[in-house]
Amino acid sequence: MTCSVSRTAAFIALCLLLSSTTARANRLCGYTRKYRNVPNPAEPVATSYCGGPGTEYLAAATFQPDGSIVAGGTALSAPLMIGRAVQAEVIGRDSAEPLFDTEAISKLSGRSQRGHLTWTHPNATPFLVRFSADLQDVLYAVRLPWRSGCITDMATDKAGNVYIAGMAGETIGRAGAVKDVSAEDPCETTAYIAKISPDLKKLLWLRTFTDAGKGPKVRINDKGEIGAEGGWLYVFNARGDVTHVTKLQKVNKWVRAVDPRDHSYALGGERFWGTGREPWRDPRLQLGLPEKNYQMYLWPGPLAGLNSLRLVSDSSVRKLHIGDDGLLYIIGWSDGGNSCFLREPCDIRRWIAHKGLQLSAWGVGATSFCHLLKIDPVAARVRGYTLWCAFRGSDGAPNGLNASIMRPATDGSICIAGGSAFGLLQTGNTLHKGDPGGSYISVFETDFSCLRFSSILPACGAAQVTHRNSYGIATGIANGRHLAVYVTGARREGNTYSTGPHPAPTLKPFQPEFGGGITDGWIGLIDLGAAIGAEADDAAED
Amino acid sequence: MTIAGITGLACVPICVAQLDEMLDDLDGTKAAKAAAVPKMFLKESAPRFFTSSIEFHDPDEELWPTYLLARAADENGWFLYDNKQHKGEFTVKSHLMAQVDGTQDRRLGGSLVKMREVENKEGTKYKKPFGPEVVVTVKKIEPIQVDEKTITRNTNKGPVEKVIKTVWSPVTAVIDVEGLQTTAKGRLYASVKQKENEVTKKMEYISAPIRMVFSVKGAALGLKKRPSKPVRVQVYTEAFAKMASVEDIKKEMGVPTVKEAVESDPDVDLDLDL
Repeated sequence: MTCSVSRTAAFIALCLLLSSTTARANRLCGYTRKYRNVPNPAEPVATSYCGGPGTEYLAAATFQPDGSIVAGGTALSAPLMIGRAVQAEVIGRDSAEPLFDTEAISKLSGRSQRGHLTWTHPNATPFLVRFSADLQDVLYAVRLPWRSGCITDMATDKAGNVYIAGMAGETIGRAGAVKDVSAEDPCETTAYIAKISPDLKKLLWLRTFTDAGKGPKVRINDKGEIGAEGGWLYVFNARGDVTHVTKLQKVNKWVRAVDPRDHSYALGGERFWGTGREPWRDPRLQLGLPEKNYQMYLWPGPLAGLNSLRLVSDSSVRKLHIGDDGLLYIIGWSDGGNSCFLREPCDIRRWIAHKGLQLSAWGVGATSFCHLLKIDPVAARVRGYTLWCAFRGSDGAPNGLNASIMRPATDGSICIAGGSAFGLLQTGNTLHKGDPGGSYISVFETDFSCLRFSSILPACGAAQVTHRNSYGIATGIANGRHLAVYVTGARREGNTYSTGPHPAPTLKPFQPEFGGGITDGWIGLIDLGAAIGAEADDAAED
Repeated sequence: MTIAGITGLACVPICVAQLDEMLDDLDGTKAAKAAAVPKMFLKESAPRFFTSSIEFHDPDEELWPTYLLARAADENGWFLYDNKQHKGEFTVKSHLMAQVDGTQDRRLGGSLVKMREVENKEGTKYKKPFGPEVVVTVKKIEPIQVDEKTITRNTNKGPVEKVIKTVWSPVTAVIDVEGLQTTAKGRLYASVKQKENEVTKKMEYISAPIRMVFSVKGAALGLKKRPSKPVRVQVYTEAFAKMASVEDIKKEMGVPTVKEAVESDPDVDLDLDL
């Protein structure tokens, strides 16, 4: 009798264990099935390697008024051939080719090798490539003198002039006449902004200014003002005259974003609370408006950890971006599901209204969660949110993931890129069919309520194109379509967990194979849908 | 592995929290359990972590709320959970205001933030913003009242009506904002929960989370920027009754004390997260 009872109990316990494990295992399968056929998919149009025998990567891109795409990148070693056939022309007086021991560096592994593939490398040389609107042809390529700097951001004005920004190298003066406009105290690092003619053949002006070490950025607003963000914000007119300088707060370990409309800015980061009780790390967000300075988040650790709140996951603001409409885009990090990102930034007891993808964080240990937020800074309310994480294949428990860049598209969709542990949720039109882990790109609906596109990109994300980020994203309207372009650096091949090695995914490529060196550029064009009505008209007028 | 890593702790609500059910079962076992709830205390010295918050909310949500981290003001606070009439006397005092830096013109209690001169470790003086000192003293808790509300839920089997009972006690408290005192009547909501050790299943402490809500005119709180409706003052706190010490539980589990650990291993890192 006793034996029978204990057997029954053991059987029930086994059933409970199995049902629990099955439920967890089904989570990855369930979400993958749910997002395999999304209602409003974004379709990849073309993806390709972009490089030659040397080591280079792509870092930024823009759309030209005629629909063509201009991508900017950084070359670390000669020769620079684009699409293995187009030789890059040189603007200015060229300098000697840099030394780069490709063989020795290619034998390094992991972090040691990544340390040579960054935007701060002394060999960095900026180059630009013009592609046809369908990304099928390389039309023209140009570079500045060797070792004249890197590209971290770029923009195009309504006339098609291209503005590039990056760190200035030692030979920047050979590119053309340089004028330093720094208003800050002298700083070791120097950034530059250059205006290039629409045909990419002339350098129209070149300015240098001090940098904050985060990678210079350039934005153009509706008034045609060109804002270059380094240590401070320098606003130029089309002739290259500084019309305005805004003193920005130093960032150090923080992140910063500038509103292109009024040059107000936001700072994000985290604060440590040595209370001995979780959470230790709390996110902080500061909105610097003219003469005003609002604090958001920055909840004292003991307050967030109250038994009546229990928001005990360490959390932090990792990336910031302000859209053309003034909305604030935040990539947040937390080590668990109970994060204060689930509450309004100025009211910790108020749940945010948006649930996003509604991914379940149940059963997680300590991992890296990604919180994607869209905040209206005037109302201090969250307008879009999702928890974004991967799920383990073994038991379906949440798994770590990060996003390093987030940009809103012209139709309101939100484009992100980053790196994922095993179990990224991919859409049916994914570019990679192997294990779902590694470097990835994703596109969300405007309030993060659904995925539009998500794919692992093996061998991609190989270079750090700007501060703690491996991707550049450009969005625009061309030929009546909303489009997004992703650029990055890609190796010859890369592994995704148990499968591989795989080359970077290519689709209707102008360069189907790796060109040489340690990395090539990689570019992908995503169609987000038809631009109808006023948006298309505006684009046509532009 | 640290001692904190070995000691797994969990919070579980106990049935006495379901007061609405207990009211229908006053002679049953649930009532007996309720009677077993001990007198609980709100002390400044214990627990060492913060337990309370005092909050000002704009009912129209035009102004951002003000959150003040708080704890019991003295050693004399007590609370007795009773299914007919809670009893208690306690005072909660604010210590730190959240989001105190920066422009305060959009925050309800922003006008109460004052700049004071402080000195850093190097002896340099600078100005730092401080939130107001707010003290809430509970004077009187009246017998329990029950509100009933019928809601309709749409289920697979069609709309289902459900009666939601809310159990609360009228409470009278004195709210002191930087010396400006006002007596307010409000609602007190209380429940009981216990925290037990995951391994030994021994109850570590029993506590009563308490929420109080008052409606107070902005002028009575000394606010310069006042919403059109009375301010909702919300106080969260928690009363504790210690059932077994953490040290006792660790001893039962065989976890060495700090002293024992140091004596047994001279290389032990004293900065461990114990």
